[in-house]
Amino acid sequence: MIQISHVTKRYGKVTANDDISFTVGDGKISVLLGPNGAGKSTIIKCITGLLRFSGEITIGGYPNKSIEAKRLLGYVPEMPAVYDLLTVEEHMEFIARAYNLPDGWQKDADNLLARFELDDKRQKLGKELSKGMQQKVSICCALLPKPTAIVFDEPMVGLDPHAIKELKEIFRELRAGGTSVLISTHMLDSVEDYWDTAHIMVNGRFAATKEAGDANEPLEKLFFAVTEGKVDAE
Amino acid sequence: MRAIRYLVARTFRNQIKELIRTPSRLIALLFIVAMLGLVLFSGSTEPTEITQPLQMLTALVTAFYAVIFFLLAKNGLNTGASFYTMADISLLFSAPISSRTILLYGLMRQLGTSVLLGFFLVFQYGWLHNLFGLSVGGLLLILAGYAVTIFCAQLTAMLLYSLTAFHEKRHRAASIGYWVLAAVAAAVIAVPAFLSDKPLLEAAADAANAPLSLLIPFGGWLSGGIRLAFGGDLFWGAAGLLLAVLGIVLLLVILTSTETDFYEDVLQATEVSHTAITAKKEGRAQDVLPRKIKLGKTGIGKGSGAIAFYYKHKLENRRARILLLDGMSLIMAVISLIFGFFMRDTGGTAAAFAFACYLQLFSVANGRWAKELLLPYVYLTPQPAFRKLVAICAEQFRVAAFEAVVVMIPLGLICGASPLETAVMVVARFGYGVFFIAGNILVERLLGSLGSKTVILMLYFLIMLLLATPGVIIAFVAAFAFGGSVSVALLATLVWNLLLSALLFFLCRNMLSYAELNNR
Repeated sequence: MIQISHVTKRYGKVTANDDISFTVGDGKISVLLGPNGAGKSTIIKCITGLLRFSGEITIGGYPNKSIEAKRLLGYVPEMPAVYDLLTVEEHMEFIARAYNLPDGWQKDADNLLARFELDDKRQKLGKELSKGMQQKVSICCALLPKPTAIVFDEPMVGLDPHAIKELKEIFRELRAGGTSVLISTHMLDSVEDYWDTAHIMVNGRFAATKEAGDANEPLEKLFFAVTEGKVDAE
Repeated sequence: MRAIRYLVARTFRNQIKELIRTPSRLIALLFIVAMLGLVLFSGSTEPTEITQPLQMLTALVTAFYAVIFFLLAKNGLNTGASFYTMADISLLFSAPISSRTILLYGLMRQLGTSVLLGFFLVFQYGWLHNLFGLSVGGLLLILAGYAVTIFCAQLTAMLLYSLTAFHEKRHRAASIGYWVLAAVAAAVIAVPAFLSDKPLLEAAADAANAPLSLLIPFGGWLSGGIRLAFGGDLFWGAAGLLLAVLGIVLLLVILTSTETDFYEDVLQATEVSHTAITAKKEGRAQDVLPRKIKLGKTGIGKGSGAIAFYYKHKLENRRARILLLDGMSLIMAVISLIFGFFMRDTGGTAAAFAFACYLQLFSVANGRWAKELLLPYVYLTPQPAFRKLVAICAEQFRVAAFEAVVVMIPLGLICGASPLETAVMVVARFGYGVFFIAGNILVERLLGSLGSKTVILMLYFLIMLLLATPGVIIAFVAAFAFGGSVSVALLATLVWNLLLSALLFFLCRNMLSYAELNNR
């Protein structure tokens, strides 16, 4: 479970996140929506421990900056994060070593690489990969330690249709496996089928939060209604 | 042409506006101007003792120009060179403006950039003035020659790429031609130097000033002009200048008359430089990678938890062809040795040691640890923050130790130090290496999230100066107490640097838990 309580993040005089609170339950998928500059990436970086903030964030009950929380958390950044001089396969090995994964990780790595069609790219260096392939490697790195909470920041950008389909399938599997999944995205139709909770951010705050069961209109319609000021928050 | 004029004028105007609006940049500029003034003013006094003949300076200039020319021109065999930005490519190249106008715009921009790049030379005025009696006019002349060298090298690289990039045979021929020319340039200086009865450096300087140096394209030609201005041989100097002018004209004629479509040729180089510039703006140190990377044995192979970072760095270094020292450290090492050679009579071991450590300040920030801070993995890895910090710096400690041996043993020999003194120099230099690593971490911890990288750099020098000063004072006191022994002074700095570094590491122990990645 990912729990965010009263998180505020300021850059000098600019408030990027203003008193944000929400929870992503076990086996739930929450989506963060909002226009550019709404503060989605900032709250995600706060959750992953990359930024300082005021408030409290816990992962599986542990403070987000603790080693226990890091062990439980996976993160796919907006910009693909790969090492130029490591091959695709070595990225997997590095994560396995850094996270002290038990023997058998190779099978999981093989499975992930096959699913994202990186099988024949195993010996390619990070710098030789296209942006989309780098994004796939980033996703594989985040999934390999089998996190119980995972945060995706614009995961679909640059992915080919096959990878998008595969990633959607993985979202469903993660939910079925009890993982808490938080996805920030602009591609509303990409999350239409499986979201449990949608938070729409505007100016660093939640302008609306909807549960899948309560929504009787498509996410896109709701999004424009909120961001263009046609409905009130909540 | 109107569009280009508008672009240039607006860019200039907006740069000035930006400068006024951003106090940090204005302060940085004023600081640089003040430093320039100080350097020129302090150097304008009569040199205390001119210990080296001017001929040695012109030889250095020849070598310097030649190295710059060959290094930059070589890009033409790899990614090419570009005078343009990505914005130029997307907006200008597709606009209805003649390609020659765009080429002219690019050339003018490049010339301006070349002059700016040369400004670091001004900061070398003090020691050049004292050693060689160089005047401000002479320095500006060397700077102008440097700018023209860069300009010609970029032009050569662009042409080489245009003519050879997509023709395997031509590329091979150009590669052979390049290396033959480079070998000739080296031989012109090395062969007479080794054959001469004079001391090696003196003989090499003679060779670099001899008429044969006109065989070194642009390096030898332009330095001929410098020699002419310094009162050297009129005929050969003028011949050098003439060759340089002819060379530039020839390059321009080929560039404007060939059918090559330079838009495509500059595309890759622009993308490469765009990535590098963006990385620099964002404070990210970029790897200078070989064109073809040999994978070699794959797999990290060792290490778990935080230590995995150390073994990953070893693997990355092998692929980047950094065996023990990177290119920057090697250049600094060579400069240290050259300086040591010139200072051996006047400043002795202490001055040579101090200069070598000063140069080390610039190479430490390039370590792989700094790159690690810019990807999320080091923050996300479930390991204690301090252990991760030590692990990502471990490779840098190894480099510091190796660098100490590689630089200090030859320096000790050059300065005539005893084996014991040399050993002390090695360990003291290692102490400075550790101190600079710790200082870099402190600066990253304190200032890493600041927007202006120029301000960070200025504060970095200031902080390092402040932190190193007590060690230097202690060294002086210790030396005074032990009859002026340089070794005792160096050992005192070692003790101070190691203790201080341990304290800095301790203070920054949680850096990887709390550091702001700050959207870089």
